[in-house]
Amino acid sequence: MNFEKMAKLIQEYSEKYRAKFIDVRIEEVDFVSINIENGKVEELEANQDFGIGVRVLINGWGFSSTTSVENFEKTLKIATKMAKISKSETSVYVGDPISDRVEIKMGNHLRDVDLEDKLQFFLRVNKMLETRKIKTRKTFYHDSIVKKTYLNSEGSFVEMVTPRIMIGISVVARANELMQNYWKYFGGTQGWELAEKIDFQYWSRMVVRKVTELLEAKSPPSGKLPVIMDPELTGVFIHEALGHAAEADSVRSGESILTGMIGKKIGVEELTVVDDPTLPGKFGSYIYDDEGVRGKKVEIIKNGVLVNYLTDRETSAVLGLEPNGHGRAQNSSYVPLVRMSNTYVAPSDWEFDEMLEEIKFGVYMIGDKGGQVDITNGSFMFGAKEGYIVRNGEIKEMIRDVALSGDILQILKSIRAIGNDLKIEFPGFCGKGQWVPVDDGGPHVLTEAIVGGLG
Amino acid sequence: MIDKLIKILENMNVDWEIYFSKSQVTSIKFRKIKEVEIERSTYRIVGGVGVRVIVNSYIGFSYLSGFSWSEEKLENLVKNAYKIAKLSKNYHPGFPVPKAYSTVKGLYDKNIEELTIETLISWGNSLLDVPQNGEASIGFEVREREIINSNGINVRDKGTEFAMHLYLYSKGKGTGSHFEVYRTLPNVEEEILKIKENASWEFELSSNAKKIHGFNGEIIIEPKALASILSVFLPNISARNVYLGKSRFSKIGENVASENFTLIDDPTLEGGVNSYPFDDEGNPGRRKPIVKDGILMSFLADEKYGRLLHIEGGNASRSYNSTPEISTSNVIIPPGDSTPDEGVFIRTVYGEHTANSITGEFSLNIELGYKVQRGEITSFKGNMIVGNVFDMLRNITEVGKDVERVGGFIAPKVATYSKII
Repeated sequence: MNFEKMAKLIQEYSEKYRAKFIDVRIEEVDFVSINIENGKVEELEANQDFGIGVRVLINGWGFSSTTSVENFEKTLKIATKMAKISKSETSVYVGDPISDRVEIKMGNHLRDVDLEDKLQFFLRVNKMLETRKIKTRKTFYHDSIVKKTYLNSEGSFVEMVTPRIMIGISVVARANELMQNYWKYFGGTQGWELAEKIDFQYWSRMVVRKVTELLEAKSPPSGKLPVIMDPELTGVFIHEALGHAAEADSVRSGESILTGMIGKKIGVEELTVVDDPTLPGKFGSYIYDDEGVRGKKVEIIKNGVLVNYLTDRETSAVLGLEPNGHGRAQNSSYVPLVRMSNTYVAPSDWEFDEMLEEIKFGVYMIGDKGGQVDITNGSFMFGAKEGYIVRNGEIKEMIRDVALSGDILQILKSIRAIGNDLKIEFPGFCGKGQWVPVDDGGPHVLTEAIVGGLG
Repeated sequence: MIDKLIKILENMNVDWEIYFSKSQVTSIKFRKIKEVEIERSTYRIVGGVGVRVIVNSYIGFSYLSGFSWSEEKLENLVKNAYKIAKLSKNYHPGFPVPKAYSTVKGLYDKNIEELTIETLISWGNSLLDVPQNGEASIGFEVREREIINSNGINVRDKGTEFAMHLYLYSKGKGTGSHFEVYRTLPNVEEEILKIKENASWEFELSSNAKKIHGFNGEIIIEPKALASILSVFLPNISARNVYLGKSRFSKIGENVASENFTLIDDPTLEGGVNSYPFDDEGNPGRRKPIVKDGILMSFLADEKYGRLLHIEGGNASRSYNSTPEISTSNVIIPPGDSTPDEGVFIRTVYGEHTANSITGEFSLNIELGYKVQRGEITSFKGNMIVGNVFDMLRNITEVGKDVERVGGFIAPKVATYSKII
């Protein structure tokens, strides 16, 4: 790949077609994927991939992408043509040129460990899940080393290398007519050392114990109840209840219920919420975003007040906000959108036991099953993997997985306690027409939500 | 290029399969905040070739993106697939053999392939010619695929798809949306009117909707919400999940729904959004009744799990850069004879990915619902609907007479018992 030649072409097109802005992303991916079920390999893959995405702003945005390396100029030409056809009032932040080469370092390089050794490693992990009641035991492993090269018409040239790894164990148990499942995921922007540090014996016993207990668990109650969320559930909660509505593209279009709310108190005094792509080794971390802008730590809510939105080049320019490097794309075939990275509720000073004492009748819900939000109407939902009834300050019987629901503008004000035990180690993928890796978390949090149980 | 690859593979003592695909997407995104703007125009080309080889009953896969490859790259591609097969010990019973395909009409239209951007823009403007703020997207795709294997399968086809989507919103007040997908070009002006009508109707209802008190009893589920709820059920009919013990079901013949309920997977539907004459392994697409009059009739399978469970395949779906997965095509619920016009209707829900397909339990947010009493409509939103999909199917009381199309899902309204909180 001749980046110099590409940079020259970008300049040529920029001048010839009077483009306001052109940027190009070239992605080279090297990945390994392993999926083992019931001791058998269901998937094994080791591959390389490649793609180019070109964005041009003239009368509006034009975008074109290809998976074929020799088509760069053709792709640039098409994106330019598309940009002339579009027609919208917009602008982009330009703090360029930036010239940089960054790499997230691996303790133990992912390609220094043989594919066969990785396979044997996860076959052993899969074996640890084998017990009588378990019908299906699955172990998956996915790693990638992504080399992104970013070029733009302002003369920026940024190269970044990001390793990313995700591991999961999951089980399905059956007893008579009842079936249940449980799982645990691990992940980060790290090398093989992440896999080596996991105590798989411990976690295997944990998921097997949980799934077995869940076979006996009751259906959760339904209705508006006090809910203590564990750090993992707090993560998905804040991602849905606040994160999406704070993405500046939906603020710019006026879709988000948080449009025009900067400086307003939308949560309790104790509440501070942060999105931070610079946390070392987390699954949602990055150094530069997909628009060649450095990712910055952003306080979205500080002491209950909405202070910042997450922005990209376009929304920061149009809304007159600071660019904070949150423009992310699934890969070079997609345009960057405003996205979260690692989102968390900052810790406060409550002990878990003190929170329990606050509850006469409520639930303690644990784990993340995903969620979704309707940012315009302002309601959202999020799923928990399991939980317990809390009666008179004491943890009682176990309850099954369930989704909970709330209103953005009410629930952040209904928070009654924020714990002191911060954890951000719950990797996942966030969908917004395209998928990006994220992490989230927080401490234990006590609030009120609608529990969607059958009981 | 493919010929070179075939030659390399034929020189090896293995069973092999080549899957080539190329997809070209042209789409335009419009936005209306007071004025209609063309926010972004996109052209995307995605494609490449994937190779699977079976070495002593073990399968290996590898792929290359792009459309022209050196001899060396092709040789490395095959070597990698071979190495993976030896290493993985991933059992595979064999690739499909040639079979007769039925003709499925209406999957390609030259008029779609030849659409100009100017035409798309005029339609986009017309979609957003509405009083509300909104977003619209309009686009088309041309897809080509080619499957060749060592058992003699050698097939190719080309399909088109045209799609329009409209989303109307007013912050803190309400939303409405509608989308349509077509394989051949419809009367677009007429369709635009229909899309606007549907989205505006939802927007009006949503703007007047409030949370209601809980309710436990008979509800009428509209096709959009039914598609979401049935997505909790559908993983259970995958032959792979059945084989691996991850499905609720282990055999056909079980009573899984009330006797007025039938569910069919039909890739042979003329002009169907997800129709195909052959699946992504080269097996013929077949109309399969999954549930007939309440009884579980069959599972969906690819070649591997079809052979392992001794049932017919034809439900494999993949791209050049992935291996086949079992997938539904067009999911059809045939009409019944009722015309529900009073009661509690659920129009749209969200959050189905948080539901539990193994237990069948779900709790979803209601994006839009409405009550009809003595001809008067009152709408609601922000409540949850909770239930168990297996119980819900067994409790279906009525199946509507008029069917609607939601992409590849074609169904009437269905009445059953559930709980709103």
